[in-house]
Amino acid sequence: MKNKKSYRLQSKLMTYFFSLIMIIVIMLDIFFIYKMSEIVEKDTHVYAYEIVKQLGRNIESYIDHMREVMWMISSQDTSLINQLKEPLNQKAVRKSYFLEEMRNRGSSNGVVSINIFGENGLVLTDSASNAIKDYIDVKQMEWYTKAVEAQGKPVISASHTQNYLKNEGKWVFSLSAAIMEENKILGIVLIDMSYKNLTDMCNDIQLGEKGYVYIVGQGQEMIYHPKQQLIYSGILQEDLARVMQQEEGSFTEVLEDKRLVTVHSLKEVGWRVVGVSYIGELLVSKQEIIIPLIILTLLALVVAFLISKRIVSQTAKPIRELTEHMQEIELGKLGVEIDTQSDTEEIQCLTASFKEMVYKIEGLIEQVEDNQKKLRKSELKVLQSQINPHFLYNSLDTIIWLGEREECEKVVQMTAALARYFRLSLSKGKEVITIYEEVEHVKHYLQIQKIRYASKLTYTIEVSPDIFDEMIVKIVLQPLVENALYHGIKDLEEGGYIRVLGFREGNNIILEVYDNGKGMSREQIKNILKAPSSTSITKGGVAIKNVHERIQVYFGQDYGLSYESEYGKWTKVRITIPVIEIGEWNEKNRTNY
Amino acid sequence: MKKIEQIIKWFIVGVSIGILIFIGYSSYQSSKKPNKIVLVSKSIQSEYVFWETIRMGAQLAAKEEEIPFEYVGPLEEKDVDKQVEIMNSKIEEGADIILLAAADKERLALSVENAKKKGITLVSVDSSVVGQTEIVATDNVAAAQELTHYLLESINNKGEVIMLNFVQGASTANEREQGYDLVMAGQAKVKQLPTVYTEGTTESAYKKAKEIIKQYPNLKGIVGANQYMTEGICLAIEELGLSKKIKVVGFDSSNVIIEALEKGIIEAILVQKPFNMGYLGVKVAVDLFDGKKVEQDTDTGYKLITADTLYDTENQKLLYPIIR
Repeated sequence: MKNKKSYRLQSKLMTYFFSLIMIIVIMLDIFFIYKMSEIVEKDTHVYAYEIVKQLGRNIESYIDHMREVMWMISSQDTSLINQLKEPLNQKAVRKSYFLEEMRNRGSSNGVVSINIFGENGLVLTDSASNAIKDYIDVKQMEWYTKAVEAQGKPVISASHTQNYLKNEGKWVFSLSAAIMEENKILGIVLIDMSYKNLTDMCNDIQLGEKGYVYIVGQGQEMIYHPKQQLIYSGILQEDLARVMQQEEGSFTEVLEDKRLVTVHSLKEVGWRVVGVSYIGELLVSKQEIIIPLIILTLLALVVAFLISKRIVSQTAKPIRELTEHMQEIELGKLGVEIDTQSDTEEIQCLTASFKEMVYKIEGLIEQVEDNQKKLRKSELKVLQSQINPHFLYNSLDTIIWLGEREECEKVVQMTAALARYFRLSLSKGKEVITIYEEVEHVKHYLQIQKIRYASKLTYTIEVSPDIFDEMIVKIVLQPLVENALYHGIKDLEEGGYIRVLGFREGNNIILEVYDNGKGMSREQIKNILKAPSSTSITKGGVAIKNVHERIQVYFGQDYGLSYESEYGKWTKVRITIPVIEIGEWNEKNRTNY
Repeated sequence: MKKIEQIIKWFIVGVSIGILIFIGYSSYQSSKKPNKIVLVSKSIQSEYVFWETIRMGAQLAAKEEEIPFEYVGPLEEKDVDKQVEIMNSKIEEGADIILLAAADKERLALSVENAKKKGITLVSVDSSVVGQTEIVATDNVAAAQELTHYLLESINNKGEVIMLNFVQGASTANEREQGYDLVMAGQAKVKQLPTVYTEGTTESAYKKAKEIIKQYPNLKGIVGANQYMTEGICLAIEELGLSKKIKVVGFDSSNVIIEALEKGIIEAILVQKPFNMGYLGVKVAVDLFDGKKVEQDTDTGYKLITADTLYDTENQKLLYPIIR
């Protein structure tokens, strides 16, 4: 569970980190594409406007040639005027060499034909082969009416066919002007210019694959449109109203596709040259950039992924190591070496603090141990001192009693035993003594008690000599024997029997005190080793419990006393202690707290 | 570490899927374009303005669609065998889209069937053909109705009226007659004289027209079912000096017809819009190729032109579609 949490930090960091990079990269891409399309669009604006302007200049110069011819005709030749002044009874067509010359001069610049329609019914043509339709009224034609209106100024009319000529379906656009004399119109000069030249000029313009150029007149009439037929049929529409508003420059419109419409006005002529570019097409050409961009982005993301993975693992790894150390310490291994390496300041701080904390905890534990030990020692001392006077009074009473009976030998015997007994009790302040010494100690005790109780007490001590050198907490047998004596057999009329046994059992040493006294109830057995809270606990009970506690304090919870008894018949108390070297004992004693 | 490995795995999987989708999409994009559009005309002589204009329209649309365009056909409209041969060779070539202006309704049926079998996207233009449903053409029935109505109006809805028709395998003749018949059927004061059929040339029409005029002295109106019929009628009327006495309307235009219109010999002409035919033919075919739903009949429109509207730029464009 805890391991998983630590990885979760790493993957969390990874996820955030990587998503952040991804978002930034993608946002940059979008920004780049957006900016690029903006630039492309702007470039297109500039480019399209330049193109349209250039086309405008070409058209203007094309028309200028026509104006030049017109100027030459209307200003130079007086013989023309004279011919138009001639009164005629009927319509007549005459070839004019002057007009022919003019046409020839202008033909390289697109002049197709020059004709003058006189008010007097005379038609002057530039070629004898021009068959003027006599069954139509040219005065109805747009170029005628407009020229009349303009009173001498040259006017341009939109594209039309040369419908005044027989068998001609030639498309032209015309410059017409009235020849005036004293505010009277003598006739109209009509110069037809090749419309094909104009359409070729427009067709040559490249505005991408699908882009095109068209020309619209002042009255929104189409001068030229590559898809003119479609417009007339309503299949295609141009936003002419918008074009009319926009005198110069461009705007974008969205019909089926997004289109850039660029307008340039020819002020002299009154035409508007309009370029249409397809922005979608430009975006297609942008694909060349977008594909590498996508590949680069993917590459960048892979690199970003690897780098972020590394950074994240560098950050998360020390934390994970620290966590592992913490877990070890939780398990109680305080001495673990904390070797987490990191170049991150915060993590260094964290590691140092953690180390410091562990050292402090170690110190604290030691201190607590020390205190505990001291506490225990003093407790023991108290316990031991509790034992001693109790017995001493009894023994001294016995000695007094013997003395009064003048049983000198017994007094001596008893006093000697008592002296040895106390010597062993003190045992130079040692807490642990050999089993031999302990057995000696209890032997002296029993000797003393034997004198006191005489025939009432019989005892045997059978301790295997091979355990004599093993160590035991001092004064453990004596309280048990004392207990057996006072609570087991003392009240028996016929007297009792106490047997002390000592032997090795596996790695343990067993000492047993058996008495055939009044035995113990189950209840008593259950309570005897418990805390002295119950009222039924006797003084002897306290002593027994002290023995048990002391053994456990020194040797651990696995050791101590155990009772077996049959009520009214016998009791057996068993001491179990481990076989332990004196040095080992010291260490064990220390770490156990 | 398992979690991170998983992230890496998913990341790589995601990136690969992304690339695959991208490649797939771009190849799909490039694969869906037709290889070319072939227009099989009735005649590829550039003097035949009608077909030339269809070509112009088709070519413009093909350019807009960015698809290569090919224009093929026999030199003469009558050469049906040649058209069949050309059609078959284009089917063999495996053109993705074919626009067919069938010179004969029946004789190209087999080729049409073959083309369908090969999965070629086929669209008829101008004339229908057996076995082909999608057609882009003038609604000849409606056009004939409008023209007939105009004629009847100009004769105040009374008198004798006759139609001069041509007999060919082409469907247009029948459709125009059908439209004409529909209008005539509902007329009380107009007497419909039996339609006269000619060989199809101006010459034969001219002769027939003269015969008819002689045969029916009370004749008030004549309808010419195509350019040659109309031309023949105009010539006959002009020669006989019956202009304005017998009202003439007719299909299609030519210099002769326009002059007749200017002179007042003919009341009105009905012109088709071949440019639209070519243009819309391609658009319909591309839509069909892309699997979009298209109308079976696409009307390309027509225009009734009278002397008054003759010089409108729009009409001029229809009459003189080619800029010279």
